[in-house]
Parts: sequence; structure tokens; C-alpha cells
Amino acid sequence: MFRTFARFLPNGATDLVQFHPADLTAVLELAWDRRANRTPDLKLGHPFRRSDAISFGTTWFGSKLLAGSAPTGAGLPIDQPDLNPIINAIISAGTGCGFLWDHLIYAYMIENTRIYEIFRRVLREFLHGEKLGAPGTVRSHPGFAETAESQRWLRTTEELFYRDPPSFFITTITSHVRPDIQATRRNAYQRMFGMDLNHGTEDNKPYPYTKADAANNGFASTFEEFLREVWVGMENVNNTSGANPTDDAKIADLAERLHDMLITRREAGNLSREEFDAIAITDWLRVTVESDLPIIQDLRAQAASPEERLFKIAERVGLPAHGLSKNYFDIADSISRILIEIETGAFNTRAAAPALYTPQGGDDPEEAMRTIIRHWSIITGREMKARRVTPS
Amino acid sequence: MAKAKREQRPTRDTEPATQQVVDLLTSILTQTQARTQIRSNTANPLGDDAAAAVELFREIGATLVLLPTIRLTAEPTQLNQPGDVTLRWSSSEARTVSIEAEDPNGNPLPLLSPGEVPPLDVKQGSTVVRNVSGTTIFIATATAKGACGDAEAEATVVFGPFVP
Repeated sequence: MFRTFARFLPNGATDLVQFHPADLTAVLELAWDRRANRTPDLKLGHPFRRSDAISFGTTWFGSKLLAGSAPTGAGLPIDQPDLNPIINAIISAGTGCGFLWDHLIYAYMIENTRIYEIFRRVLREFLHGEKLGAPGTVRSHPGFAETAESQRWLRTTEELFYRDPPSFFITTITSHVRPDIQATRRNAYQRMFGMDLNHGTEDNKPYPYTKADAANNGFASTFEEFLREVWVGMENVNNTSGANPTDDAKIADLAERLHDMLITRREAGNLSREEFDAIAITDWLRVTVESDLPIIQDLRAQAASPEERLFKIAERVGLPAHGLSKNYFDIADSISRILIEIETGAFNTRAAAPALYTPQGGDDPEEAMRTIIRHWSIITGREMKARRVTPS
Repeated sequence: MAKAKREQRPTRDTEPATQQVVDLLTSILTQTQARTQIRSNTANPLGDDAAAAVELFREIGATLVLLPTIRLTAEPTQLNQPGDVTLRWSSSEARTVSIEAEDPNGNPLPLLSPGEVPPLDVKQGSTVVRNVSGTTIFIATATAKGACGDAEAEATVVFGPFVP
């Protein structure tokens, strides 16, 4: 989501983190309003028709706020980038395919690195004292005063993701009924995947949240069986004669079971807002560690990769990141795309199964499945390239 | 005599054709005995449903990134007399990139190699346009991987004396 927005800015994420939180809130609202909603005959909850919640822009109030272009050119203060490229891209895509956000599994994977808790500590330290130094790598501009860039990141991150959002916006999913945003996300993970995050509270106690009775407790075992069957297909895809244990019918059956359980949780557009919000939060934090942004420099966490930056920040704030953070980062995009496609029902037929294990020159399901199988095996400690041994 | 017979006796080293047959049979026998499969270097082509699933996967990817991006620069941007202009482009999430040129009135101008750039140059590339002799607007268009939309970028070369 935020990685996508950064693509349209001249300096990518460096520009993105300079925006006022109000502008980023408006962009999120616009993205929700222009979400993929291709044909009304698709069942609510389908990836191309996630929700029919009324768009903010179609209300009297919202239509006044989300109107026209953003200020541009000379109307902008120094270092505040032009928001219009993002707005135009969302509007333009909205008239074509519509805005699509990642699957909830993306947020689940990124959050398992413990990135949310680590950055909460960063905020806490910067906002309560100077243990980590004074935030704000200053940049000089000819003829202008200096700007302290990390201060903008701190404000935006705190306002957007570590407090209750203002009323009426799509990211407003806290209330008297569900006051804890982290508990809300864990509840969504438990309902959709039957799984909690791999860590509890900061003092290593189980995180308190409401566990639903209606949850996909069979997701992990079904998904693993699916991965194993697809791996068999990958191993035998080039066979021209001899035994071929690939079972397309079983792959299709498992894909359909996954489709059914995921879509059942999305009945009537359920969990769409929670998913949208979870993706926004985790993608913002991922953008933060993907390059040496000013806040990363202030934290003296410059490194060659997102996980190495996260490890350095974790060390500075005294809360360890997950040791397999690289695997969580690397699996997130592929598993998100595959689960979105599974939810469309595209793999529910035996004839479609070969797409999952037959290479098609890159950027294809086979490549994504290979990535998932490799990292899922490492993350879970269960080898997906080996047949499950059933005790006799 | 015995020595001569030994010299005439065919050996494995001296009969490559025979050796090839023996090696082939040995390999087939080994594979059959080991119950391993015979494999081709290329996978079977996909049927309609599977091909559609691959296309949908790509479309989902293209939708997640909204649109392709394209950037285009021209060097120099000002010409006093007919001269060469270097065009450089870079794109992301594009399936194709094409370059066209037109005059300020929107009339197309001939380019040395107009249209789609080679697939290897889609992400980034450059070309030299010879003898630009009038104000020219170069337009680069990037087409998305899916059906989600295109992106355009322009670079203008002004022809005539420099006016500060």
C-alpha cells in the first residue's frame, strides 16, 4: 500500500514520510473509496468486491473534503512533496482495475517480525526523552532554514498508527467495544488463519484478545498439505514418462477448501476494514525499514536490508526482533498474491492446478509458490518438500 | 601374431559409435532400475484454465501496484541548430514501453526506431535521436502488466535561440 504510493513520488519513500498525517489519511480514504469493485455480481468478500461500505467521498461531508487537487508548486513549503501523483494514480487506477490492497496474511507475516512493538519503543523513547538522541536529521536547503525530517516521520507514525484515529474514517476500527488496535488485529488473524502472532506482550505473556469461535483453525494444516502437493508437482513437472505422483485433483480440492474457509470469514464484506487497516500499518513500518530514511539514520541503523535495519533498531531499544525476520519479509508478498488468487476461486479446478507448479518465465504462480514453500518451511520448521509421515 | 590380433581387437576406446549405444542403453537401464523418470528440459504447455490462472496472477500483481511508472529525460533540452538528442527512460511494473515524437501541434514526427523498445530495455534504456530540427515533444508510454492502465511521460526539446 504505502510502498505502492512511494513508487509515484520522485524520491520514493524519502518523499512519502514527509507528508502531513492528514494528507496520508486522505489518501487512505481515497484508496478505500476507489477500491476494486469490478462487477456487482461478484459475491461480497471476493477480492474484486471486498466491501460495499459507503464511500466517504460520496457523503456530503466527505465530498467537501476529498475534492479537487492537492496544493502544488509554489504553494508547498520546503520539503513537502506534491501529493498529486499519488492521488492521480489512485483515481486513474480506480477507473480501471480499482484499488486492491494486500491480503491480511501480509500483515500477519510482517507483524510476526515484532516490528510494531519495536517501533512503539522507538516512539516511546523519542517522545519521552533523549536516550536515543534528539530525533531529526537536519537537512540544509540553499536560502532556507533547516528541516528536521525525522520529526515528521515521528508525528505521522504516532498519529496514524499508535493512537485512535478520528471518527468516520475507514481506518477507525477502535471504539469502546474494541479499544485495543493490536487486539483487533490478533482477533482478525485468529479468525482468518486460526493463528496468533508468534510473540505475546513485551514481557512475554500471552497477549489478551478476544478469540472467536468461528475461526479457520484448519487453515495452517490445509495450507501445508496444499504446499506439499504443489511441491510434488514442481518436482515432476518435466516428466515425460515414468511415474508422476502429481495429483491435480487433490491440489484443486485443497485450493477449494482454502477458498471456502477464507471466503466464509469474509461473508458480507466481513474483516475488510480490519484488513485494510492492518495492511496500512504494517506496510508503513515496512517502508520505514526498506531504506536508510532519516529516521533510520537517527537511529544509527543503516544497513543493507530491511531485517538488518530492524535488528539494529531492536538492539537500540532493547526488544529483540524475530530471528527469522528475513523469511517473514520475503514470504509476505508472494503469499499475499497467492491467497488473493485462491480467494477468486481460480485454482478450484483440476485443469488450473498446473499453473501452480509450471514455470512460465517469471512473475507467475510457480515462482510465488516456490518462494512460499522455501520460507514457510524455515518459519515453521516443517519441511514442505517432504511428504508428511503418518504414523501407522 | 598374438600381438597383432590384440591390436586389431576392437576396444571401447577405439569405437565411439558403439560406445554411445552402450552408454545410452546403460543410462536407460539405470533409470528404469532406479524407477526414476525421464525428463524433458521444458515443461508441458498450460491448458486454458491454467493459462488463465497465470494471467490472473499477473493482473493481481499489476492491480496491487496500481499503475506502471515511466520517467523520460531528453539531453539537451535546447537546440540552436539541428543536432542529436539523447533520450533516457526508466520504468517500473511495465509490460511494454514505447517512444513516439510529435511537434507542438500534435503531429507525429519520424523517429529512427519508433514504437516499442526491445523487451530487455523496458526497465531502462536510452536512444539517440539524430538531427532534431524543430521543437519536439517526446512521449514515452508504459503499458501495465495487466489490464489496469498505462502511464505516460513527456520530455520536450525546444528548438531555437535560447531566451532567458
